Amino acid sequence: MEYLYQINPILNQNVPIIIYGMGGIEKRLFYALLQQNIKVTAFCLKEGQNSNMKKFFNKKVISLQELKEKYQDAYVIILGQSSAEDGEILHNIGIKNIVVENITLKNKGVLFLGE
Amino acid sequence: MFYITGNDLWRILKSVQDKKLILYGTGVYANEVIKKLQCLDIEVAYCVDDDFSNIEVSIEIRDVYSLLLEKEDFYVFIAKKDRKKCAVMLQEIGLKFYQDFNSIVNARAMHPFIDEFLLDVHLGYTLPFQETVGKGVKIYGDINTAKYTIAILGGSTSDPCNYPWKSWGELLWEYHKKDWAVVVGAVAGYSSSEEVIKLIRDIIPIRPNLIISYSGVNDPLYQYPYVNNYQRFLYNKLCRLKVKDAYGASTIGEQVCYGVTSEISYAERWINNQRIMHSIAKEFDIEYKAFFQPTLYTKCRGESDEEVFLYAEHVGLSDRILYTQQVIEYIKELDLDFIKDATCWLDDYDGLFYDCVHVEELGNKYIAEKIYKYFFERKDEE
Repeated sequence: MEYLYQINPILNQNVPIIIYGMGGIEKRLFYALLQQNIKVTAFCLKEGQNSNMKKFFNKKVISLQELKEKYQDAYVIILGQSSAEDGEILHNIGIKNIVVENITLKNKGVLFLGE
Repeated sequence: MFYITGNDLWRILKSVQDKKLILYGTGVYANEVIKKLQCLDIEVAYCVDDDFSNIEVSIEIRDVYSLLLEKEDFYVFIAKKDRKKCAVMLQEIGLKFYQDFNSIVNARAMHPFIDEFLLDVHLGYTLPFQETVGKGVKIYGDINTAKYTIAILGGSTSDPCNYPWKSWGELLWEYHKKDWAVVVGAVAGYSSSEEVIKLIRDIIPIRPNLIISYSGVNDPLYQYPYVNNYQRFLYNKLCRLKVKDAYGASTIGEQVCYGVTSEISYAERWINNQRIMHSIAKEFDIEYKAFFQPTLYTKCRGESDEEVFLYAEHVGLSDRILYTQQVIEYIKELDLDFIKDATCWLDDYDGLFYDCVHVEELGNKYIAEKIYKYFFERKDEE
């Protein structure tokens, strides 16, 4: 079975991976990575997002503050559809490794490093 | 290839909570499973097996009988192709399906190890039970001596044979075991269209006092009314067989007819089928009632329900919610006395659902209670 999408090889290198957001699309993203045995470290609540859940798919749910304090070197995956806004928020707290998913965009299938 | 669905994942996490996870299998498949579970931060304590000819896992392995000596609380997931054989082995050791073990694939409540259904000429598939009236229904009590007989139609949420717990039909029967018979013709996957055919063929001849349809969730699954997906699959295969007639000729082409094209919505189809079933039942002086069932899509969700809802994979979620709302609107608008909106029946409870539509035995108990109160509580008081 061939996968419909490709994942940036940098995510295969045993790096901490955080998915930014906890909605339906983030869920699909998590599955896409899981099906290729790529381990997600945690989910990060978006700015203004609230949740009582301490774990989501058995992964920690962290705040933006915790992301800033403990995961500066992690690869943070953001959705293509809100990449401008989310990218700016993450850039402002010092996150350098931002990966934009574009499964939901026109050029489907390739996760590439955003600028 | 091992693929985990959201529902399976929730079930896996719940099953291994505070328990040691043991995998039954040591081959390639088991190794894939271990890698997947590692990505989910789920640790496999060790693997067991009854065949060590093809070991691919690198963690500790033990003989399956060593489970008899395991002192800690544990849960076994089967990660081998022949799940039925493994299930039989585990049951022989004394473990119970669902409570102590499950298959890692389709890790749900529906029993994956038994031959569930029989081929059915009109419906594609049906229940496997051989009862006194023939095959295709499950009977509680004795319909020959019962003072009151209730027949139930629906899908998996009323199916009596696929789960390791009592269906609400059986629980309803337990209210009046001595005097009642309950005939369950509900089958996993049936929509209201299958119920119509089931009613005509299998339920009316039994002449119950009351027919209950507890349904709604399966109607949006099938594109063609009165033809389920298994039937489509079956007939697509059959039409290629070129079966010859008595004259040695085959005049059947390779296309299958699914009936006339229908433009009505799924919601309207569900309502129409209830009206058809009610009319038929009325012709034979049988009381008929339909309940549009509760689901997590529109239920008031508590914390546990919300968690289940989050894990569930929602293909066409917005369509399902729209369909549910449309049916509720139709029920209000038409105000037919034989159709009831039961979508709020479980609103007072949290944590009964294990996916968007199914409940475990406690949920079935509440459904049976609601049904009993609806029909009989007043009569009991009198």
